[in-house]
Amino acid sequence: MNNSLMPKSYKLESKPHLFCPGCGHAMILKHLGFFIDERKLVDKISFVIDIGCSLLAWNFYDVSTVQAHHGRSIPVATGIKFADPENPVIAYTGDGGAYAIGLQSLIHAAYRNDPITVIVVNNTNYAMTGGQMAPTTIVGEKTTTSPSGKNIKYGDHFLGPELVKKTANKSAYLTRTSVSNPNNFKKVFGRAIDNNQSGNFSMIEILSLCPTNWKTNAEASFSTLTSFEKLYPLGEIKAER
Amino acid sequence: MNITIAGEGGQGVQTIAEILANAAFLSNLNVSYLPQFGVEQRGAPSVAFISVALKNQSTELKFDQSDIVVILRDRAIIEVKNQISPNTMVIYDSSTIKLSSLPKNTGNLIGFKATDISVERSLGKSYNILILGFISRFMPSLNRESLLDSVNKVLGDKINENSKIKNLNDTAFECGATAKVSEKNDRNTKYAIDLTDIKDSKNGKELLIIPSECKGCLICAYKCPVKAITVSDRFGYFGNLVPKVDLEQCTACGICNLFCPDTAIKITKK
Repeated sequence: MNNSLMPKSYKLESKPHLFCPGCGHAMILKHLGFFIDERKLVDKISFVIDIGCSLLAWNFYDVSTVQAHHGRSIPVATGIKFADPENPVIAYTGDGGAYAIGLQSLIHAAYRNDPITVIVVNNTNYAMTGGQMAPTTIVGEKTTTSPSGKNIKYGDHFLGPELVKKTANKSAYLTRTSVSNPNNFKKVFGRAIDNNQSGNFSMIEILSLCPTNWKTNAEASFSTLTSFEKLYPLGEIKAER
Repeated sequence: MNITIAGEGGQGVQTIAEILANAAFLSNLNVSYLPQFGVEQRGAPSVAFISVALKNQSTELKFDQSDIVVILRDRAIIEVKNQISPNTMVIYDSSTIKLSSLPKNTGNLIGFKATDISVERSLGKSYNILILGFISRFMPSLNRESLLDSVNKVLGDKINENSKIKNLNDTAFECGATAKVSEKNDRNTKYAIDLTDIKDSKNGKELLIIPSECKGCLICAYKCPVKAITVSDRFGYFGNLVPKVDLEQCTACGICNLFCPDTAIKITKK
């Protein structure tokens, strides 16, 4: 065990972590850990995780962490924020938890303008359960429930922030970024948390890698991600309501 | 008799268990087999629980104490520690697991150099059948014929695809059935993984690679803009190969450290 390269907010007992080799979650959580260090949030922030691969972030940081029912990380985060309005709260979920089973919760958190940050890690499949087709799966993408490639009749690919923008207050911060550009994370995390401080909802979708279910090595993982970036536009999405 | 087998995901633990369970059934015994899996792809050990009983007795589906515990990788020890009592026979791969890693309260420690033999005889993926052959020596109630029939039955599809596998399995089983038990004072674990940090210094640059965290995804190698990172022959925590860095090529740009999911690599300019 050598923690010299780890964020200070990392909990050492859970290292090496349980994410697959090359997992996007591990990259994201590392940068979030350095963000928590830099902003001195370790005793202030609450971290709510969902069911799915996000649950492998259990005991990941030395911060208050709650694991919620599937799709309920967002309302639990709202509840924590109401109980303790001074401190930042992050709901950390996958594309299944945010756009499938938890979509209702996401839309209403945006509609109420709940001052929480929702981080949606999008790897275009239901990963923890073995790589099934999700709303975010791309047409033609092979998964265990779309073995000859996703048929367009099931939807081309679900654009979450683009849907949420219809219900989110104009002051909400909605953005999409990617693990292909980790240097961008500090900026979007900062903007999201600051937006919560001024009483508004924030949502960050992060396009991520899933080498295990995509069955890709390092190079193929990133080239797959690049092809997804052409369909999932990166950058801020203006909230409309 | 209660048997627990534990190893790394991919070592063939569940296959051994399925074969043993089949062989017990063919030997006219009662048997139950409970696999424990879920996170092997994410690096957790694979464990199998097998309970064998005479025809007029019942098996235990999940049990607290084992008569035999088989350990194929030191990371799996934590999963089976509670099964071990002074009455338990612990069979382990002594070419990768150090005696000092094993629980002290064990009655009977039986090591054999499974990985050594497997490499020497090029057994490859039949490593688990080698283990099976060795275990069978301590389960006299399973007759040899039913064991060999079970190997062919459980691995039938694979044998149909590639007939060489049958010969490899037969060889592996024989090797296991005749392998020497390691001497207690033989401390030579040739294939034990050395997880000490890798440090190097050259041209004003300092390298740190941490095998105890590295899962061998090799994203660092892919992302390196000057192709200074390649795969080494050193193993990391999950039995994967860790990277190596050519410090003459390296420009200490920081990209490998930026992307590494495991906080396992950094090159700093002094």
